[in-house]
Amino acid sequence: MAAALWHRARIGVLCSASRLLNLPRLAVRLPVRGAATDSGASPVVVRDEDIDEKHVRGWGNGGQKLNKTSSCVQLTHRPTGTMVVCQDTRSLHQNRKIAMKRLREKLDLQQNGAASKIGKQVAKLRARKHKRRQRARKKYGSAADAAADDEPCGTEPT
Amino acid sequence: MPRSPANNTLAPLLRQLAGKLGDRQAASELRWMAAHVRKTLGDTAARTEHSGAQYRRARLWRDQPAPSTEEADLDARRFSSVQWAWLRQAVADRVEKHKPLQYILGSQPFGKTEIGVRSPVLIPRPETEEWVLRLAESLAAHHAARPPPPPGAPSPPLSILDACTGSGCVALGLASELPPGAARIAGVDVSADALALALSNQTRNAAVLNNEVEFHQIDLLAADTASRLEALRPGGWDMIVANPPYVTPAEYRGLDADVRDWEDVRALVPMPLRVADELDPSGVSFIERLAVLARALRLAREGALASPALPRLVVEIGGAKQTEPARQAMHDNGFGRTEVWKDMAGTDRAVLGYAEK
Repeated sequence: MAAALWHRARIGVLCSASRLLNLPRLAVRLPVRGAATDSGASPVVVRDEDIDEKHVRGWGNGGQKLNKTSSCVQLTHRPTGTMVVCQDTRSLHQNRKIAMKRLREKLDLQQNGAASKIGKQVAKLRARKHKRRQRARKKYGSAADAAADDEPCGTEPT
Repeated sequence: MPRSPANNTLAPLLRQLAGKLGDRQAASELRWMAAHVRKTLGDTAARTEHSGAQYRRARLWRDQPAPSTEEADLDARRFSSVQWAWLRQAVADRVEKHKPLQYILGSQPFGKTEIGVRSPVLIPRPETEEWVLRLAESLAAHHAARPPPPPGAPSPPLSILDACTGSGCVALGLASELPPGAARIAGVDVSADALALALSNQTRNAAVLNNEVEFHQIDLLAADTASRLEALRPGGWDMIVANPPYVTPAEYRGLDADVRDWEDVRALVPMPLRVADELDPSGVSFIERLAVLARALRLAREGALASPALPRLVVEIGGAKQTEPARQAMHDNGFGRTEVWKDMAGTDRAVLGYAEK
């Protein structure tokens, strides 16, 4: 503990010294305790070249002759064959953003399984539901189980 | 949570829409109407985003395909009576009067902008959005690759004319996609209605516009057009882009009521140069007129622009039947080379004229 503090203080001095003397800042790595990578989740790297983007319209010859509204973005990640579709909004721009977000979530899930962002959230939800049921059981006995089941998942904000 | 009366349910509304649009399109449109009414007429329940996102994540975990946001959006318990009244009226307008959804919702997304729309100004088409974004990408690449200008003399912005601007979508779309200072864009239209709308769209999207845009009322079919356009930009024009009317009179008679009953015929069918003349049966007369104007404004002269590889005239067309006449008109007016861009349905959608061979 003391050693880490000492390291930090030393780096602090170096940084401020370099600022005074206009030296380029040194990029120093401190050994950080309790890092976020404890569960072994690796970051998802998605390259633009790996993605095929297709915009699908439901009609053929449109142009000025039609004013139907729809916009469907289909992204395919070629290396893994993952495909996501988004036709939530009327904006191509927004659909693209949402599709990219979903692609990342899906790839995260594939790559990291239980350690992914979604996996952790599901685990948290399960733990919360379990705790709630335990608490109800302790207070009111086993009849409370039926009541606990009626609560929809996610009544409390995440 | 107040309970809605039994006669306020979404199922009959969905059925009405599906009769006109089919199930899938009806569901999407009802969802967008619901989202719109919640946004504009107030939304008291704040749980939507969370519950929708959690449903989706839980399903992904169970390896089911991620649903769209229908469940949260169409939660019928969450509409007030005012919102129900709006929804019923909107569906009635959509089904009985064939009012386009974009006019009901009042806007259409176009690139990064949100274009306000109202009848009879033409609703921005996704085909137009496609070539405008592609053109912006190409222009932005050229702008990035240009040789660095000498200090104290920044490279002049491109003078771009958006003919038949209507709601202003092409001008504003380009202004928002191009890097700052790349262009000075002017949109012109014959209709005062359209110009009022274009100006309000400029204000509405001010936050995303990187480049200057101005709007003027000019009749492109009048005899003095070329001189009026020259007066607008004494330094000369670099490029004309346009989504001119190109529907043939025969096609117009066969159009859906959604289009024919609500959008300006002058935005769809090219009018003759002289009032007493016949309508052009091929629909390319306005495109030819633009090629003639481009020559009058000396756009086809070689060596004028810093980057000769840029197109000078970009015009939307109505499919393969118009490709050859459009290309011919450009060649006849001094453009050395022409190119055709297809839209995502594989239809010929834009013809570009270059000064160089």
